[in-house]
Amino acid sequence: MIRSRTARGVAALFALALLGAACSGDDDSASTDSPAAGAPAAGSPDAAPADSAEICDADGLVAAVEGGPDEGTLAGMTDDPVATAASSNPVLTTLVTAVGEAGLVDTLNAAPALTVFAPTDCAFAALDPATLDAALADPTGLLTQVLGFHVVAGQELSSADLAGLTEVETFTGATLPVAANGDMITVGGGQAEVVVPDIQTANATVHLIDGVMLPPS
Amino acid sequence: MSSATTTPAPPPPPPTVELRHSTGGGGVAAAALAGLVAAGLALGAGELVAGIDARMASPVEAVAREVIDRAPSSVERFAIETFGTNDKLALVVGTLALAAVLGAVLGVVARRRRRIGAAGFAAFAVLGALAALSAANATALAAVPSLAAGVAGVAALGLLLDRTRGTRRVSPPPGAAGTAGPGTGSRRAFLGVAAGVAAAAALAGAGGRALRSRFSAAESRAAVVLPRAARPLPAVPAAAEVGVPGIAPFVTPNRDFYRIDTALIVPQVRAEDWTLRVTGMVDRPFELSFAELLDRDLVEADITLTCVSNPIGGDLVGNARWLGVPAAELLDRARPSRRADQLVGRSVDGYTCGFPLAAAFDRPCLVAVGMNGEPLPLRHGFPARLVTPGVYGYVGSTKWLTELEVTTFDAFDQYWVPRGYAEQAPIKTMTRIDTPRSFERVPAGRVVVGGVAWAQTRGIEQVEISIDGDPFRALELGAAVSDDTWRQWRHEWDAAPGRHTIVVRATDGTGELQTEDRSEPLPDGASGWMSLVVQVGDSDTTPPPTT
Repeated sequence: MIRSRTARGVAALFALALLGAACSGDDDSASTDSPAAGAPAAGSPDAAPADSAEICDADGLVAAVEGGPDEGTLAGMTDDPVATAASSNPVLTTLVTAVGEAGLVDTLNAAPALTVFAPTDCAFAALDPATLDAALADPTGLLTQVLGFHVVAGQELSSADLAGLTEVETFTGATLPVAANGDMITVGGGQAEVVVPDIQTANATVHLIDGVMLPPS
Repeated sequence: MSSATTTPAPPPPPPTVELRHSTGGGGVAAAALAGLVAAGLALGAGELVAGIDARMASPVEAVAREVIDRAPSSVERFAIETFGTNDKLALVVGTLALAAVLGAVLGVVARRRRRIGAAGFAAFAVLGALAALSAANATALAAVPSLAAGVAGVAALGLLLDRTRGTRRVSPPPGAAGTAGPGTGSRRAFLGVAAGVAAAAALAGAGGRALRSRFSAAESRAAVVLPRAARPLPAVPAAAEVGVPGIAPFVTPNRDFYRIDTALIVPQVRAEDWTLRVTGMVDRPFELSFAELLDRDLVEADITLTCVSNPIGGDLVGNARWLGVPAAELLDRARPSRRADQLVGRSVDGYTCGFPLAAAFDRPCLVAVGMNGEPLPLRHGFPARLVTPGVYGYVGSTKWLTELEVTTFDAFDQYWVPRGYAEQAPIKTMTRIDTPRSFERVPAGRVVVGGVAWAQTRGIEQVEISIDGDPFRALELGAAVSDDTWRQWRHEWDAAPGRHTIVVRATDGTGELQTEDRSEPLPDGASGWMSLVVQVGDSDTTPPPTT
C-alpha cells in the first residue's frame, strides 16, 4: 500500500516545489509533460469526444488516460497489475473486453514480467468488423492467438529497448517485427505504430498502439 | 530565481550611488543563497538534535510522512509513473528540494523585510514540529528538533544577510574610482561565511544521521533470545509439500515473505523500550514490557497471512510458524466490556487495524514475537505484531504493535476504512496456479500443474481442475497442517501440443465452493477462479509440416 501512497506524496511535494518556483518568478518550469510530441488533436479541440474510439492521437490519449476515473488506486495499497490497470483505462475498453472474453485476465496479471502492445479503442475501430466478430466468436482460439501476438512474456521492454531490436518473440511463438525510426516505433511489420510508449504497471510495460496486429498465418 | 543571472555581471555600469541606497541589503542572488544555506543549516541542526534522543523526530522524516498522509490523490499516477519504486527516496529528496526552494525564497523576502523572512523560517519550524507531534505516541520531545531547526535557521539567515551588505556589484562612490570596490572584498567574505555555514549544515546533518543510527533496533533484535513454546508444535509434516518444483514452499522463508504496510521508514523499536498497552473498554487496563510478555506461556501456530490487495494469482500471501502470546489471554486479564465488539491494534507509527473482538477468542490470534524460529524481522514488526488468521492483513495483523484497544465498530474506524476498504474482511477462499507460469511454453507430454489454495479458519477440503472447459475433477492435495494454513496441490496432465486454458477452484472445510464471481481487491479482497493460458509444444502459428 505504501508504494502508491508514497508516490502521491512525492507528486504533491513536487507540485508544491513547482508552485514555489513559480512564486520566485522562474518561468522555465512551465510543465508540459506530455510523453510524446503529438499532432494537434484531430477532432474538435473544445469538446472531448465522448466516444473513446475517436481518441487516436497521442495528446488526446494521454489526456483521456489522465482524466480517466481514479478507480481502485485511489486508496490502493499496491500498484495494479497490467490487466487490472487496463480495466481502468478509458481508451482500452475494447481490448479489456477481448482480454476478458479470452480468459487472459489472470494470466496477464500473474505474469512476472511482460511487454504489452495495447491497441486503443481507436485501433479496434479501424479493424475490419468481420475480423473482430470472428475473433470474438472464437475466444480461446483466434482471439487468444491475436491477443497473444501483442504480448512478449518474460521481459519488460521499454521504448528505448525496442529501438535497439528488430524483432521480438511473442507469447504465441510468432515473431513480431519491430522497427524504430527516430522517435517512431513501428511494430508488426507496419501494422501498428506506438502512440503512447512506456506506461508502467506493476508487472508490465505497456505501449499503446494505433492498430490491431494480426499474426502471420 | 530569475534574478540570479544578473549578479555574476559583466563590467559594472557607470557609478551611481543611488543604486546602493535603493537596495536594502546585498544582491538578490546573495540573499537567495543566504536563505538556501540557512535552510540547509536548519535541516542539519534538526537532524543533529534528533540524534540526541530516539523520541525526537527528524523534521525531514516527519514532514515527508505527513505529506504522504495528506497528499491529494489526483497526482498519484503521475508520481508512480515517474518515480516507480524509488518513490520513498524521491519523497525525501523532494522534501529537501522543497526546503531549499523555500529557503531561497525566504532569503530574498528577508533581504527587504528581515522579520518576514525570519517569521517564515519560524512558521516552517512550527509546521515541522506539528508534523512530528502528529505521529502516534509522539511526546513533546518529538517537536524539539524542528524548533531547534527554526532557531538555527533564523540565526543563520540573520548572520548571512548581514554579510550580504555591500556584496552587490556596484561601482564605488565618486572619488574612489580606480580602486577595488568595497563589493569585491565583502562578497568574498560573504561567500566564505556561506560556505562555512553550508559545511556546518552538511556536518550536522551527517552527524545527526550517524547518531540516529544508534537507535536502530537491529542490535536489540540480535540480543533477543526467544523462549520455547510451552507446547512446541511438531515439525511441519513432509506430506505438506507435494514435491513439485515451482510451487511456493509450504513455509515461506522470512526474506521472501511479502511486505505491505504504510511505514515510510521501517520503525526502529527496541525491545527494551517497548511496551504493550491494553486499553479502551476494559475493567483493568494494563501495560507490559517485552520481558513480561516473554515470561508468559508462549504458543506456536502455523498461520497463512494474506493481503487484501492480492489479486487472483498474486503473490501477496505467505505462510509462517509464529510464536507469541494469545491475544485472548491478555484480554482476559484486562476484562473487556460486554458492549465492546472491536479489537484495534495500534502500531508505533499510528497505523491501526481493527477486527471483531470475538476473533481474538475463537482462533489463534497472537501477539507474535517470533517468525519461523527467529525474532520478528524488523520489517515484519519487531519486537511484536498481531497475527490474526482468517482476516486480511490490514484488518488483523498490525506490525510494530504497541497498543490493543478494546472498542466498538461504531466508535472507531481503523486506518483503511475511511480509505475505502471494508470494515469486515474475512479471507475469501482462493486457489492459485504456481506452475506452469503465465505464458510459459511447456513441452508436450506429461506436465505437472501445481499451486496452493487457502481459506484460513475454514481449511481446504478439495481443489479441482478443469482443462479446456472439461468437467472439473478433484486433484491431489498436500497434507493439511491446520485450518489456518494454505495447502499445496498437484495434478499430472498429459498435455497435447497447442494452447490450453487451465481453471482451478477450491472447496473450503465447510463444504462451500469458492465463488466463481470475480471481484477486485477493493474493498474486501479479490474473488474468482484463477484461469491460466499456457502454450504446450511449439508455436501454434507454425504451419503443419507439408511432408
